[in-house]
Amino acid sequence: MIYFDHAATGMPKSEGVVNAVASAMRFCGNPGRGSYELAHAGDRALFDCRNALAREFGALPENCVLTKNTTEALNIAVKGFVFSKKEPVHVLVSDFDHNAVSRIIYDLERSNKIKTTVFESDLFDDKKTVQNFENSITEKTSLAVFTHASNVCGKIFPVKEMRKIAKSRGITVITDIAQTAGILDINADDYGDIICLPGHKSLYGPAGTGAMIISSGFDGQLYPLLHGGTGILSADMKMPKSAPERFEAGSLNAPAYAGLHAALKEKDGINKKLPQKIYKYLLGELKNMKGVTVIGAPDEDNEEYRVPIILINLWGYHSQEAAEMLAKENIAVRGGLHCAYKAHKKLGTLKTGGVRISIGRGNTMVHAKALIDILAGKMSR
Amino acid sequence: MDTVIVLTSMTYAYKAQEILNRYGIKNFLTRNAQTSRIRGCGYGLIIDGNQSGYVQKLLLENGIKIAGITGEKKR
Repeated sequence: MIYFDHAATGMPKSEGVVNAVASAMRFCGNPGRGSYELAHAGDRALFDCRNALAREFGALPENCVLTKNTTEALNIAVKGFVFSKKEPVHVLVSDFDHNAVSRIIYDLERSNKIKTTVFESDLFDDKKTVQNFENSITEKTSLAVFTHASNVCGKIFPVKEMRKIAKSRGITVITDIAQTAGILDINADDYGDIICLPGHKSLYGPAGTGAMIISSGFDGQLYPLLHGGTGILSADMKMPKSAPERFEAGSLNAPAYAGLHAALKEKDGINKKLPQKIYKYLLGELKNMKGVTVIGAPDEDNEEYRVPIILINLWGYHSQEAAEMLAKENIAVRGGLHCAYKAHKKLGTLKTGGVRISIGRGNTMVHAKALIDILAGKMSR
Repeated sequence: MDTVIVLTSMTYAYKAQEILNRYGIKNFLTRNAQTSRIRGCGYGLIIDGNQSGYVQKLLLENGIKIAGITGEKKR
C-alpha cells in the first residue's frame, strides 16, 4: 500500500512510538490518582508530553492541555470562551474552516450564544484575506477563529498577520493548526491566544492525541467544558482554576501521550524537505496530465505557501469512485468532502467532492512516480 | 521538622521538582495527609524545613503556584 492520506493521520508510526505506548500500557497507572509508583509513572508520562509540547510550540507546560484530538481542543477553547461570557459574542470565522470549527459555530449560533461574520479568504492573495478580515471587525467582535491551513487544498492562510491585527484590537484568537503542526515551526503566541492541534497527523503520535495550547499572554477566562475528577482539590466542587487540570476531567490516556512524547522527541531527526519535493513533482505532473483537474493549486511561484496537499478530480469519475479505483491499485487517497463543507463550497466541488493526495514523511519519489503512472494509464484509456 | 510545599496541580508539582533538582535541592514527591488538608487531594514536595523560605522564593520566581505550606514530623 502506498499511503497518500497523511492529512487524515500520519502513517506509519515509528517503532519508537509503538514501543513507548506498549511500555506505558504495562507500567503506567492512572495519572494523578495515587501515591504509588505506577500512578507516578502515569503522572510522569503526562508531564513529559506536556514539556515536549511546550518546547515545540513555545508555551508553558501547564498551558498545554491534553485532548484526544483537534476537534476536542477546539470545542474546549471556543465553547469555553463563549460560555464564560454573559452576553452573546461576535465571532469572525473564515470561509475555509473544517467542520471541527463550522459545526461548533453553527451550534452556538443556533442557541443564540454568538453572532457570526464569515470573512472571505483569497486563495492567491493573502493581502486581500487580511483586508477582508480587518474589514469584518466591529466594535463588538471579541473572538476570531482561524484555520491555519486548509485540509482540502493545503493553502496556508496569513494567520500571523491577522493575529497581529486582532491582538491590537483586543480580539481573542483561537487557531486550528491541524494541518501545520509538525510541518511548520509554530510559536503559539504568534498564531493565537489558543492553538488547537492533533498529535497524530504530522507529529506522528498515536491516534486519539491532541492538545489545546494556551499562549502565555492570554488572560481571558475559559469555562470548563467537562466536569469531574482531576485527582487534586477534591473537596472543592468547582473545577480547579488553573490549566491544565481545569480542562482535563476524568482519566487520561497516559499510554497515548507517552507515544506522543516519543514522537515529539524523534521529530527533529526527520527530513522535512522530501515531502515538499514530492509535492512539487506531483503538482507539476498532475497539472499537465490529460483528464485530471487540479483544484485550488498554487502557481509555481507560490508553492512554498502550501502544506503538501493536492486536490484533484478525474474526468468522468466521482471523487469517491476515483479514490476507490486507486485503492484497488493499493494507493491510499481520500475522496469526498473531507469534513470541510465550506472549503468545497468555496472551491466549487460540492457536487463531486475531490480526490485528496496528502504527502508525508513516509513517502518517496518512487511512490509519487507509481501514482503518476497509474493515473496516466487510467486516464489515457 | 520537614516542610511540605503543597502545589496546586500535578503539573506544578513535577515542574517544581525539576526546578529544585536543577538547584540541587533534595526533595520528595508526596501525596500524604498534609497535601490533602488543603482543599483535598493534592501534590506536595517534602523538603528540609530549613530551606523552606528559600525554596518558596525560588518556586514563586519560576512561576509555580503554591497552594500551601505544612510541616511534617520526622518518623
